[in-house]
Amino acid sequence: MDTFLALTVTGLVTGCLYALTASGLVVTYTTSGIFNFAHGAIGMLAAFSYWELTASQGMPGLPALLLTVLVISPLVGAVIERLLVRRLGTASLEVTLTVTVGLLLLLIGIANTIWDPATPHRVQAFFLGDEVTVAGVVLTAHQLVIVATATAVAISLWAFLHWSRTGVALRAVVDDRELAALTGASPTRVGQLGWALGAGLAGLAGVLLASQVSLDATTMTLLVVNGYAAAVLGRLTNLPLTFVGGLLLGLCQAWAVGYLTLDFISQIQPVIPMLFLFVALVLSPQARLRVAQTAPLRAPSVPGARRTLLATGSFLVVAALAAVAMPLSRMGDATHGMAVALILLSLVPLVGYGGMVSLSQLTFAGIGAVALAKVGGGPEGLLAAIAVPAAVGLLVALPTMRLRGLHLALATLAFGYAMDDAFFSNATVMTDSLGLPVPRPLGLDDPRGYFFLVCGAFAVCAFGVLALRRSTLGRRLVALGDSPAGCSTLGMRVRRTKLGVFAMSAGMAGLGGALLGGQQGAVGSADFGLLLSLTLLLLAVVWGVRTVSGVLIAALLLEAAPLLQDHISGVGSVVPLLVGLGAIGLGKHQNGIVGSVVAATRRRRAVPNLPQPRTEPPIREEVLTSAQS
Amino acid sequence: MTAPVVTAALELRGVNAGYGRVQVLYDINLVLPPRGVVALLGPNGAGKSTLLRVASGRTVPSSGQVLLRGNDVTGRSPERLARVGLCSVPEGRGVFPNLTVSDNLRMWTFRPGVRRKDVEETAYGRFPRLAERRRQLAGRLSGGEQQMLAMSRALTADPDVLLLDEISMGLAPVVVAELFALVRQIADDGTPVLLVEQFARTALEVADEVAVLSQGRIRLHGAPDQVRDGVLATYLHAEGSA
Amino acid sequence: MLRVEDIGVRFGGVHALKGVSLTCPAGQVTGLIGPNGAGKTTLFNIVTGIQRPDAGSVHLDDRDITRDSTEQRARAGLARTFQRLEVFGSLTVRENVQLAAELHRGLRRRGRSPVELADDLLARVGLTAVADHQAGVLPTGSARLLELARALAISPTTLLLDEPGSGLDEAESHQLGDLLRSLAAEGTAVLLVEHDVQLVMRICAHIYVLDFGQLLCEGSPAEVQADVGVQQAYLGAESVAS
Ligand SMILES: Nc1ncnc2c1ncn2[C@@H]1O[C@H](COP(=O)(O)OP(=O)(O)OP(=O)(O)O)[C@@H](O)[C@H]1O
Ligand SMILES: Nc1ncnc2c1ncn2[C@@H]1O[C@H](COP(=O)(O)OP(=O)(O)OP(=O)(O)O)[C@@H](O)[C@H]1O
Ligand SMILES: [Mg+2]
Ligand SMILES: [Mg+2]
Repeated sequence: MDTFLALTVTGLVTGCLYALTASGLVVTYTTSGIFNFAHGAIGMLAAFSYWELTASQGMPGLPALLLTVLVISPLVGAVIERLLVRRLGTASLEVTLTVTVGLLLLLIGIANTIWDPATPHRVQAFFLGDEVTVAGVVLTAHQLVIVATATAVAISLWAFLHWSRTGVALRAVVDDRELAALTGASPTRVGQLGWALGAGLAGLAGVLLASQVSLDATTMTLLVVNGYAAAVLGRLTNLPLTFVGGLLLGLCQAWAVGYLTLDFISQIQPVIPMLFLFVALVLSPQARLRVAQTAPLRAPSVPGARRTLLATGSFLVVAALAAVAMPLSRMGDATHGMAVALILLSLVPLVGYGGMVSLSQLTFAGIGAVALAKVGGGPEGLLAAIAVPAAVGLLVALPTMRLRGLHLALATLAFGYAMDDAFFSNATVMTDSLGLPVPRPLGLDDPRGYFFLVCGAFAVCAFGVLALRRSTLGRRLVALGDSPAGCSTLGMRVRRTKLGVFAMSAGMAGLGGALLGGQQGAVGSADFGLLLSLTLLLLAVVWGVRTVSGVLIAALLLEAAPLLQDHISGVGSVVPLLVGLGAIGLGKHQNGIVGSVVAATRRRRAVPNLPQPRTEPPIREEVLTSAQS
Repeated sequence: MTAPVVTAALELRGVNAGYGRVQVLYDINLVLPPRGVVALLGPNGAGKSTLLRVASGRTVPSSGQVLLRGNDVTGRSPERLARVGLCSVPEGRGVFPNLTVSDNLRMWTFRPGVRRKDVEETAYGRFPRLAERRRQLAGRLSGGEQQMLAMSRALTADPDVLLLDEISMGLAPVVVAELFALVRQIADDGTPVLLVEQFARTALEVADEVAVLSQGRIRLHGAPDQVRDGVLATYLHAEGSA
Repeated sequence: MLRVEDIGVRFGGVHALKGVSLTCPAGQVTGLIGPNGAGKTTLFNIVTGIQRPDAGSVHLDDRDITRDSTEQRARAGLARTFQRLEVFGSLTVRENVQLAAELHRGLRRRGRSPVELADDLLARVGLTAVADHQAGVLPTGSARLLELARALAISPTTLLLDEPGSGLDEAESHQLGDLLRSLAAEGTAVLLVEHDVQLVMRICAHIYVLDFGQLLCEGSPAEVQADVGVQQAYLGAESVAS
């Protein structure tokens, strides 16, 4: 009984932290319509600022806390709104998601540059040493502070959003910015306030958490994934439910840790947030009325059959020449780059055409590599490298099909997060501490031949993807992004189409991953990390995820980036900084760089820049999904 | 009509406007006198909504001026215009779908001097259906109920200038008749109204002045009786040539 | 032919529909009118399977489809348009219709190519001139016509139209009326929800009037117009006179 109580109390404390994090997510979402993947990163930045103020500058705890939470974090939020969010307008889901993903990478890059990750940073708990005993359970004062703050924040937030006129305006601006302006509320000021508030909450959670963990930019940033389940349980909009969700999650985790055997728990613990998220997704009754994400107008340029054939042919010729002429020392990098390009290509039908976002495409690639390693290098191995990830993709996507696109993105993120810890780092899967040996597919040990094989695979898939866009399936995908209700009343099997594309994309990523593994000879947990997935997605969207050339350029640049990094020393990590800057550019070039270039060169069928969508605010999707469930 | 010289409530002078590279309005000159209803008619896609966008500050004209009571307000933000009394009810989307009816009404109180209690009283008094549904999300109201909610802003904002874009769209005939009577009454109480309509006949009945827009230009302008025949002809002509 | 029997729907405590039965035979336009919020769109959602009824059944060509999914119903020959537009804004106008034709052809591979069919249908609703435009930038009225063409592309036996005329000007709405009549003459069962009383009275063979979720009356246009209840609840005194 005592253990139970003790577990319950620690669970509630952790739960309060989850609840606080999730409330911040919900606030940003309800007030800007954007799910902020950088929420944890903002909290991380606040925690480091707090460390800087206290441990480094010697400021006492309370003023430092106030300064961090009330000034620094809101300021960060306001700046983010000014630089990134305001330009987005009614951008499509994949653009808004990637912009916050870029922000996340950027903030991690900044933190790692300022605060050397190699030296440990530790923050003291509040009221260190003070303890209270409640019902036989010892609580530190810090834990009490957490509980009290979280509760007070939850209540006042709710009251603010629902009772004050500004709170109502915050929610109204998401719905219809222009109408809000017509009523006399200032959308820009209100929007900025929303982000300042959300960032303040992130900062608060970050500082409270800081003393509980050792400060590490990446770990702290990703801790927020635990809050997703709570936010989803609150349907991303309902603060009280979110709070309850956070508490429940904390409790479940504490009980699991307390009652399950150590060995088992060490395996399952990283998966708990994902399990919880999936349960929350399945329980989600129906999506909320879709917010101002008015039908994203995506007009990807569609090359005709002849041009596609020509381009594929010339690509193969260039590839053959390169295979012969390139020095052997560069062969490995080039092959690697093409394999990555194939993984990125898998995003084109999914994200570029269908507007569905997968945040863990590398995870599927990793599954492909593992499948190849386990089955062997023959054709059946390649087949498995496609089929296994496709099947896993089906399972991941299935629970979210009733819901909005954002939920799919969340599910993939949680999946990637869980797989990072539970699968790719798992000794039974990877067998070797140096990584899992992967055979060269089809026994192609000659590096030049192998390079050409990878190029060939890319060419075939690229041709297929372009043919798909011209086919009725391509039109279906685009239409689905615009109006699911319209699609199903015309007889389209909406869920089947979406699932099919997701599985196909996962399979293609798996093939890319297998080819990548074959090139490396072995794969390890670092190859398929979640952060790398996010970087890839961002690069693809920045360069143009609606075009094959866009993802090809993105992949080759990524391959060139380490070379670049060798030249620019002193900067902690060039890649995150670069992609972060790319995210800022996305506001203006929502079709990606390639998209913008194409549009600029071909004014032929120019679609005017839409200042505001012609359609009324969409509100029907949930009606449809509720009936189908 | 005591003073011989009256400043127009709203005036567009030589306005050209469009979206991106597409020009929609060409050299528009339009005066909304300090009293009365001006109906702006014209076929589908003529640019009526665009004209109202320019007048309410949502679209900045590429050239020309917008004057509010004689002051040049070209390029002024829509929220600033709204706070000084320009009330514009946009086409088809005058409510916040994810807010409840009562929260929507709360949003109508951003005009300085407008009180929450008065807003609710007026809105619920005029449209009792809304009172029954005050806790319902506006997006789940029927199309007509949403239009009522949108119109309630015009009633409660105590505007100095009122711009209405196709308010009759999707409303039952009884309600339309009521609404036009209401518009007439608002105008008689001293608020000038610029009313965009597609149905010429209905608009001709309430308007004091009529302007006809077609393919981005004002083709006709005058008292309803003067232009009635011309209006109907323009419509048919525009149709025939389109 | 469409037949609904004894449909009941509740939202929370409110009855949106209660005991509604109606028949929409092939070869004629059947009207469904009623005040705002009467439940017309809700009935469409029930018939197309977007919402589930709490009571009652839906029959298409004498087959019970109450439990079928939206897709199945579409495949069985049911098509609709939306009061709040649902065009595929990122596709071109032609692609919108072509996609619908392809979805239909996916089942029965015969007949003309989807592109040809799309061009024919666009010509029929008068959108040929904008066939290559992106659908998202169409004005409301044209977008409604596009939805109509798209619905026709799946060769429906029963066609549900939710306010197709709103956003059209008078001339266009007249043409729409002719088009609907010719569709009916070709054997399609058309169920029309519309607030344009002139249009409804001109083309409907039989009219149902819905009020507060219940059938208020039904009959020929003349009978319905003469009904005192309908005049009070919906038409208003003026419309009857005109
Ligand atoms: N956001 C936009 N981007 C590009 N073109 C637009 C946009 N909005 C409107 N247009 C075009 O401008 C023209 C005028 O449109 P507007 O909405 O002003 O017409 P309208 O007279 O109000 O028509 P309706 O009667 O259908 O409301 C139309 O041809 C339309 O296609
Ligand atoms: N999802 C929902 N939740 C709650 N109430 C709803 C919902 N959908 C519709 N209603 C209510 O049901 C009633 C019927 O709505 P419906 O949209 O069917 O009306 P309608 O006859 O189409 O009206 P209109 O002519 O104005 O479009 C309305 O009062 C509306 O507020
Ligand atoms: Mg208009
Ligand atoms: Mg309706």
